[in-house]
Amino acid sequence: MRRRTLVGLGLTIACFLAQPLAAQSRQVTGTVTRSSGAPIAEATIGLVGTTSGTRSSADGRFTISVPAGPARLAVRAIGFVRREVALTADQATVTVALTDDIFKLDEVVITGQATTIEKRSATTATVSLGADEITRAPAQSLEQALQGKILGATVTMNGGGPGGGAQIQIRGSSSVLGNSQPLYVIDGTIISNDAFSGGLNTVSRASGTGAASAQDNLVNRLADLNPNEIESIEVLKSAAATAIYGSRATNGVVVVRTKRGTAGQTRVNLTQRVGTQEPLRLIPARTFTSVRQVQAIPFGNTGAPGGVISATNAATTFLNNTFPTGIIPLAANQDYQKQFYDNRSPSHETVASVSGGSDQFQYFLSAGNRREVGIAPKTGATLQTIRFNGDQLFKNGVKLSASFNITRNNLDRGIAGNDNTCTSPMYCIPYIPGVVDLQTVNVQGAYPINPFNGGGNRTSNWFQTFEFLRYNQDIWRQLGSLNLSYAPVTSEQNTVTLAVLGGLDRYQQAAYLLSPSFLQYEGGVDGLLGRVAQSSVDAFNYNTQFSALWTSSAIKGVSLNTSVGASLERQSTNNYLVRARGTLPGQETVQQGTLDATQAITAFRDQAIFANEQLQAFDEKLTVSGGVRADRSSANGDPSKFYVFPRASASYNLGAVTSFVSSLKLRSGWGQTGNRPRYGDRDVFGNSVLIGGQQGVGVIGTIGNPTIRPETLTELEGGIDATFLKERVSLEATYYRRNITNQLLNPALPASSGYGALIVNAGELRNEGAEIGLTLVPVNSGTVQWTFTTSFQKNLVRVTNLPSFVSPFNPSAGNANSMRPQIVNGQKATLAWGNVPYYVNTDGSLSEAPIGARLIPLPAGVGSIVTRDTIIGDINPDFQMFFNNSVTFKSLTLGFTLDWRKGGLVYNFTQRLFDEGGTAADWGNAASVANAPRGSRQDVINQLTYPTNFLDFPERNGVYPAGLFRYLAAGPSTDARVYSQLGTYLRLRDLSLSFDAGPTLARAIGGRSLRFSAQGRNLLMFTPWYTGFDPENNRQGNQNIRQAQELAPFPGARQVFLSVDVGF
Amino acid sequence: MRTNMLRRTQLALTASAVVLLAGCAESLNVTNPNAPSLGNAASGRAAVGLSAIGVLNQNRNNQLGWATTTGSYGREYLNLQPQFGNTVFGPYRDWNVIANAGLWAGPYANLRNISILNTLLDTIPANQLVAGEAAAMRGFNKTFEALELYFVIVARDSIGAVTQVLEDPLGIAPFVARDSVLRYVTNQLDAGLQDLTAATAFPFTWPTGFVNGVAVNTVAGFRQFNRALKARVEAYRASVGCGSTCYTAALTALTQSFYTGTAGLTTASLAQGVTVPFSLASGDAVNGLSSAQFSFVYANQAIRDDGSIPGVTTDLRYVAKVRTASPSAADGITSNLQPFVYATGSSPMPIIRREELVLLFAEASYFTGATGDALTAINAIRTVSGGLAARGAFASSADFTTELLNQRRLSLFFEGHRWVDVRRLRGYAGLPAIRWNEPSTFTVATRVRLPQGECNARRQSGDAALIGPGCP
Repeated sequence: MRRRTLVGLGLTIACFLAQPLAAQSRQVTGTVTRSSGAPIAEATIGLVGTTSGTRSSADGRFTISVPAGPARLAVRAIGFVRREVALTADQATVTVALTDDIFKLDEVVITGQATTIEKRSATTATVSLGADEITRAPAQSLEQALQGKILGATVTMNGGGPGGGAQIQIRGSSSVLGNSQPLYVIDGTIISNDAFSGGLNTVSRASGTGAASAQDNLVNRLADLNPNEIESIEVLKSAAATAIYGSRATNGVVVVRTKRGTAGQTRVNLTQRVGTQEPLRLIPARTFTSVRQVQAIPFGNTGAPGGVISATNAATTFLNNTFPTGIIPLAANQDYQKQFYDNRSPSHETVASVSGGSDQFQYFLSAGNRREVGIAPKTGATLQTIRFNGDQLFKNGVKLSASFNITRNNLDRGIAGNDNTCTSPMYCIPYIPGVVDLQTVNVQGAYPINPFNGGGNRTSNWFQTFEFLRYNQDIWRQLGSLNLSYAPVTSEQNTVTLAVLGGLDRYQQAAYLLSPSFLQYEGGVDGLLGRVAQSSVDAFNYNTQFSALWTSSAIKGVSLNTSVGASLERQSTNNYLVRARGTLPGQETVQQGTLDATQAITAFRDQAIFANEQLQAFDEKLTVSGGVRADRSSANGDPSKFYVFPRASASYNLGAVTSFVSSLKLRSGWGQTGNRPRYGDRDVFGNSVLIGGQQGVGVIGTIGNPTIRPETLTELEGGIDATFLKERVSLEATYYRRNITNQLLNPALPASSGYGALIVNAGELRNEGAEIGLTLVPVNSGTVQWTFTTSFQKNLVRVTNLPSFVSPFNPSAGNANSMRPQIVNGQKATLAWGNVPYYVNTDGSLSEAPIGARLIPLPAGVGSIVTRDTIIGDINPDFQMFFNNSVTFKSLTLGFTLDWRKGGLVYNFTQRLFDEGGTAADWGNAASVANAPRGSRQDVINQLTYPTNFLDFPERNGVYPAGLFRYLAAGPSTDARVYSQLGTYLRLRDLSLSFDAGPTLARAIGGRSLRFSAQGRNLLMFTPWYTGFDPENNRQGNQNIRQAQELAPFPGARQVFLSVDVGF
Repeated sequence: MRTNMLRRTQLALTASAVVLLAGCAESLNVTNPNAPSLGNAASGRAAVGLSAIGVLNQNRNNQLGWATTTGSYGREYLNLQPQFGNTVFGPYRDWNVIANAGLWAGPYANLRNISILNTLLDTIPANQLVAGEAAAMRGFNKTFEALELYFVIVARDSIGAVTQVLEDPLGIAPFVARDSVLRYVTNQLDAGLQDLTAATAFPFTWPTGFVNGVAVNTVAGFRQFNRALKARVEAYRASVGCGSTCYTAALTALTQSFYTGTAGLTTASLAQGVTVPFSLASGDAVNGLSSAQFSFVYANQAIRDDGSIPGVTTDLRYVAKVRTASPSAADGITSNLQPFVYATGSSPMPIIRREELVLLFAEASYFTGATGDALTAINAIRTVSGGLAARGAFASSADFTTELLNQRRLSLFFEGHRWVDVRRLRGYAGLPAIRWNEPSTFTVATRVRLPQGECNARRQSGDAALIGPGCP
C-alpha cells in the first residue's frame, strides 16, 4: 500500500506541473550525417530545454517542430559524439554532422531500474563494450570474448576444453562462501549462470566415489549465450550503481543488450567463419634411450620406490619383450601429447540475421550455428541459437518490446583435470614413459594395452578412452523478456512512463556418460565393469518488475528523474543423477548393475521495492543520483524481513578546464548492496543413512543457521574522467574501497561438539583497488585512425574482524601439501599458504630452510627440521594490464588485445605429476638453479647425492637429476614452495584483421556490404616462470577465492578463423 | 486533458498494482526438501527408531575408523594408494605432521546423535513409547556412548578427552584426564545396564548384520553386549594402572556377558559376537579393510617376517587371514601380503566377539592369580583357533604377556587391537619394537594427535583452561 501511495503522490505532482503546449510553433527539417557525409539513421533530435524530440530516418532525415524564435537542437546517435546546434529564428533546414564517439562518452549507462544517463555525466565507473569488441574473434564462451576488455574485472578460463567454463570476478572477491558470480541481466531477464556436473566423477574419481564433483570441468551456463547476438554489454561495478539490484549485486552486474531492429529497409547479414585449432602449449616429453633408464624411474608406479621393477610387472614384461637389447631407439619414443591433442578438424560458425521494420514495428531475427572442435579426439562444442527481438509501438503510445531466444548447447568435452583412476589424459600421461605406442590399433581394431603405471585396469589408454567413452552434455535453453511501457503523461516538461517487465530463463541440461566395460581402466577402482550415468538439470527462473518513471524539466535548468517500482523474482533448479556401475556389454541405460541416484532441489523467491531520484542541473554539469531498495528473500533466516540497500552518487563536469584539458569530470559514489545466503544455509537437517537395509537419520556435518542474513557490501568510490588535447586522450581513474560485512562463513566447530561446521554471518572483507584506463588516439586522419587503450587494475582483499570462534580456514580446496589460500584475521585473503620446512636451530629458534633442505645434511647449528604451514606468497597478481588496439587504414581494420599480468602464485601440480612420473623433459638433466624451483640455492644442489637405494642408470652420468630434486624437495607433504610458480604472463588474447571490400565489390555479388576477416584467439602466450599449460587455469573451476592450482587440464587451444560477412 | 491523463494513469497504475499485490501475496516460506529432519518429536515413535539407526550407523563408521587407524599405528594395515603416486597413507611417516587425527570427530558426532536421541526421549509423548521401551533406549544410548568414548580415550591416552557435547555448538567442553574418562565410561556402562534391567524391548527393528550369535537386538542380548564391553574396558583400565581390582571387575562382567567358558569352543563359536554390517548397496558403507574391494589394502609384512611368532605361517589364523599378492610399495615400505580378514566389501566387522572374551578371561585370570585358568584359556585359543599344540605353564609374567600378545595379535588381526595391546601390556617403551623394515624416519606414535581444527577452536576461545593438553 505504501508503494502505491508513493506512486500516486509522484503522479499528482507530475500532473500539477504539466503545462499547456506552446501556442505557436514552426517545422524544421534536417539531415544527420557522419563527418564523411554518410547519413546516420536512428539519431535522436531533441529540442534543448524540453523533452520533445524525434528520430532520423534511414536516410538521416528528420522533421521537428520548434517554437517561434531562436532554438537549440541536441542531436545524439549511438557511437557518435552528441552535438548541439543553434537555429536562428527563420532557419527551416539544418545539417548536423556527428563525429565518432571513440571514448563512448555519449553512450548511456544504467542508473536505475528504468533510468539511464549519458556516460559523459555518469556518476560511477562503468564499462561498456560494443558488438565489434565482443566479437573480434570467435570465442568459446562470452567470458573468453571479454578477456582483457573489462577494466576492473578478472576473466579467467578454468581450462582449455571446448565450450568454455570460466569465471568473471569484478573488483576482486567480495564473498568467501556466498555467491561470487556477477548478476547477468539480458534484455531485462536475470539469467542463471550456474554450473552442474554431468557425472564425470563416475569415471575420474577426482573427488571421492560419488558421481559428480566440482572438479568435473564444469561449464557455467553463460556459455549458452551467442556473442554474435549482443549489441552491447555494460558492466556495473560500483555499489552506487549495482545497488539497484539489491541483495544479489555485491559481485557486480553485467547488463547485456541484444541487437534490435531499426526502421527502414530490410537488412540481411550473413557471416561464415571457418577455422582450425592447435594446442597453445604442450609440455615437452622426456626421451628414453635405454630400458634401464625407464626402470630407474623411482616413483612412476612402475614398481617399488627406487625404480626396481619386479619380474611379474606388466611394464617389465613389455620392456623385455619390446627392447630385448636394452636399447630404446629414438624412433620408438612417443610424444603422447602431440599425438593426442592433434584434432585439427575444421571449426566453423554461421550467423545469419534479418532486421528491419517500420516506424511502428521493428524486428531482428537471427540464427547461429557454431561448431568448436576440441584439440583432443572426438571433443567439441556446438552452439545453436535462434533469436527474435521485436518492438511494437501502438497507436495509443503503448510500446511493447519482446525478446525470445532458443539455444542448444551440445558439449563433448572428454575427461580432463584431476583423477584417481589414470583416465584423465594429462593426469595419466606424466606417469607413462613414452616408449609404448598406444595409438596404433591392431588388425582387429583393438588398442594396445598400456603396461605402465601398474598396468591392467589401474591405468588407461587415453586413445582408446576417447574413442569409446561418451560424455555428452546437451543443454536446451529458452530465454525471453517482454517489456511493456506506456506514457500516460507526455508534456513539454513532464513525462510519466509506466513499465512492466517480465523475464524468463528456463533450461534443461541433460548429460549422459557411457564408459563401456571393455575400456582398459574399467574395474580398476571398484571391481565393477562398465558404467553409465544419466543426469538432468531443470532450471526455471523468472523476474517481473513494475516501474513508474517521472521525468521533469519544469524547474529551469534542472532535470529530474524520479522512479519507483517493485520486483518479484523466482529461481529454481532440480538436479538429479542416476548411475549404474557394472553394466552388461551393450547395455547403455541405467537399469541394471549397481545403481545409485542423487537429487538436489533449490528454490529462491525474492521480492523488492525501490525508489530512485536522479537530478541534473547547471547545464547538465552536475548530476546527482540516489536511491533505495528494500529486499526480502526466502533464502534469509527471516524471509519476511526487508533489508534496505541505499545508494548515492554525484558527478560534476568542469568542462574544458584549460586548453590542454578538454573536459574534466569528478565523480564519487557510495552504496550498499547485498549478497543473499545460499539455498539451505538457514536450514538445520539430519543426514539420511543406510545400514543393514534400514534407513536412519544422523547428524550432518555442517549445520544451517536460522538467523542467517545477506552479506552486506558498503562501497565508497571516487574518480575522475578527463579528456585531453582536443579529445585525443581520455583518462578514467577510479579508486574504490569496499567493506563486506556479515560474511557468510562456515567456521569449523571443535569436532568435540559433534558437528563439523556451522554457518554464520561473521567477519568482514576489505577490498580496495584502483582502475585506470587511458585511451589514446595517436592518429586520426581521414584514412588512418588508431585507437589505443591501456587498462591497469589492482585489487587487494583483506580479512578483518573475524570473531574468535572462526579459526583460520581454507575457503577453496586443497591442503597444506600444495598451496591454497587461507582466511586468517588481518591477512590478505589471497595469500598462498603451504607447508615449508624450517630449521630448528640449536638455540631453539626457527629459521626457514631452503628448498631441498631435507635432502642434504643439516648445517651446523641446526638440530632438526620441522614443517610449518606458512605464507609462501600471494595468489593475487601484483597488477593486471590490458592493451586494446584498433587501427583502421582505408578499408583495412586491425584490432587486437594484449593481456599482461604480473605475479600471482600458481601451484603447478601438472609439473609435479611429470616429475613424479619421471617423464619431464629435463628430468634427467643435472639439477641446477636454472631448472630447479624458484628460490633454490646452488649450495644445496651441490650437496645432493643420488639415493643409494634408488636404481642407477648410465644416462645419469653421475649428476643429480633435476626432476628428482624437484619432486623429492616437494616431498609428500613438506614443501609447497617447490611447485608454486609466478604466474606472470603476456598474451595476445585476440586479433582480427578485416578488409572491407566496399560497395562496388559487394554489389557485384548482389550485396550491400562485403567484408573479409582473418581472426585468431589465444595466439601467443609468454610465461617467464610458469612451466605448466596455462597459469590462468583452475583445477576446481569457479571459486570465490581461487586456489590457483593447475592440475592436468584440458590444454588450451590456439584458434584461427577466416570469415566472410555479407550484407544484403 | 489533464483529467484525461490522470484517468489513464490511474487506470494503468491500478492494473499494475493489482498484479503486483497478487505477487506480493506469494509466500516466501520455501521448505527445503533435500534432507530429513532429525530428532523431531512430532514424528513420534518413528523418530526414535530413525535416530537409533543413526547411532548404529555412526558407530559402524567409527568401528571401521577404529580398525583402520589403530591398524596403521599398530603396523597391521598398509594403505598403498595410487594417489600422489604411491604414498603410505596413515600414521607411518612423521606422524606429528601427517594430518591424521581420526577417532575424534566420528565418536563425538555419535555423542551428538545420542544427545539428540536423549532429548527426543524426554520430549516424546508417552503414548508413543512405553516405559520399558524408553528404558531400553536409555540403556542403548549409554552403552554406545561408552563405546564411543572408549575409542576416543584409548586413542588419545595421556591427553584425556572430552566427555560431553554441549547444547551450544559453539561451546567448548573441558578436557577430562584419562583415568576419569575411563571411570566415566565404566559408569555409563553400569548405568546402561541398570536401564536395561528395567527395559522390555527396543522400539525399532535392528538393521541386519549386528546379530552374529548374540541377539543384541533383544534386551537380554544387549545386556550381554554391554557386559562384554565392560570386561574389555575394565581389562584396559587394569593394564594402565588399576590392576587386579579392575581385572576382578572384568571377570565379573564376563560372567554376565556372552562368554561361555573355555570348554567346547569351536572356530564358529569363537567368531560369535556383535558385528557391524557393511554392504555394497548404494548409500550404505563398504568395508574399507577388504583387499578384495580395495586394491590398495595391504597387510604389513611384519606379521610374517618380524620373527616374533615362530612358525606363524602354519598357524590356521595366519593361513585364513592373509594371502600373498603381487607386491606394492610406497615410501620405502614394500608388501606382498594382503589381508583376507574381510573377504568382501560387505563382510561384517566385529565390535566384540567371543574369542576376545576368552583372551580377556585369560588375561584377567592370570593377573588375579588364576594362572591355571589363564593357561586353559590360552590353550583353548591356541588349539581351536590356531591349530597349534597346547603349551605348558607360563614361566613368568613376561612369558605370559608375550604369549598373550601373540595370541591376541593373530586372533584379533585387523580388528583394531594390536597397537593398544602393545602399549598397555608393554608400555610406551614396547612400541618401537613393532616397527619392521621401515625407513628410520618412521615412528610408532604413542597416541593419536588432536585434530588441528579442535586445537584451533580451543586456542581461539582464549580460555587457557579449555586449550587442554595435546594442543601444541
